[in-house]
Amino acid sequence: MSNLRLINETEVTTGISEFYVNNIFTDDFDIYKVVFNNISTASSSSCNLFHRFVDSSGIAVTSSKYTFQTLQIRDDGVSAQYRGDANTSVSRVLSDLSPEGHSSTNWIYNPTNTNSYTYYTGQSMSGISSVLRMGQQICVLEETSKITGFGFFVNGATTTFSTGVMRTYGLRVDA
Amino acid sequence: MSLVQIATETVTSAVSYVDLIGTTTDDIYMIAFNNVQPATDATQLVCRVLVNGNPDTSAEYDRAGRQFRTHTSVGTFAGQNETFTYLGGAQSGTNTSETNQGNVYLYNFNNSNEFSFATFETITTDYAQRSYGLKAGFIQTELQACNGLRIYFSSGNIASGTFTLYRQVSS
Repeated sequence: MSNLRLINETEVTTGISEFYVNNIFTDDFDIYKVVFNNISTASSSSCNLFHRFVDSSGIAVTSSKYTFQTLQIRDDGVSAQYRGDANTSVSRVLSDLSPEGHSSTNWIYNPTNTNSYTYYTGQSMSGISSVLRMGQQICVLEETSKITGFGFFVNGATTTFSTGVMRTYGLRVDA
Repeated sequence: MSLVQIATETVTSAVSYVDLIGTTTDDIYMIAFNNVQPATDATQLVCRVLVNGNPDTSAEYDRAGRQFRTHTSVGTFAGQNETFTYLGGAQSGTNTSETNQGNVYLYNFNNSNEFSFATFETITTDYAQRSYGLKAGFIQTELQACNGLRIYFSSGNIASGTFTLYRQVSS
């Protein structure tokens, strides 16, 4: 049996502008692989998706404790950077109307460890308006609260999600 | 695709290094680590390949990639002919969560006809509570079989952390 265990698979609910999955991080694992696939939105215009973690009360964390950096590499050879040391979310990846959209693989560390911050690194690809945006991200949620979920929202609620799935795997360590 | 655990070590009292041994087939291997904190302040997580269980100290390590820094722009991460290579993007410390976490994929370690390659993503809170990441790779440019990786700090001991080596298999 693989030490990488699928622990949750959740489809996007069509018509919502916030997509969070809770109760996926437990004390059973310290390291998680979270994969988003085929995330598309209803508008024919591209939109920005901002990540947030979810606390053990099921509430998305909105404190100014997100420190992050995103390198966005574009298919026209241009790149852009987004960063912040005291933000309320993580900027940003993009999505659009299917068959364009967003996919990513993210690693999350120590979410339920209340002696540690919560960390993630991610790599994504977004197809929007006939162009590509490749994303490389890091983020630290600089608080030691217990984090049990993850997801993202459409910035400004400019559109809603249409399709997609989030799969969460726990990386098991056998003593 | 599956990951099969080969070796693991959890550090709860200070040690000078962790050896993860077991890259003994031509498969791809992955190392994951988290909560890796030094015993002394301001020191950087580094590594060397193991040859027959011994760290290779020759000046044959080349690296390239990007250094992520949440307080300033993305930086270049590069070096040639070094005697070790970096895993941490900055010097971590001894205060709350000044730790390192990440994953390292190992290629060709068992193949004595190829150089040993690695790609990695790591994230670090440094000794001044700033956040850094590395998305990078290294090559150890000697034709030799390597049976693992030694992970240690550039100075001082490892105070805590969990390190695990996995083999990637097709089913």
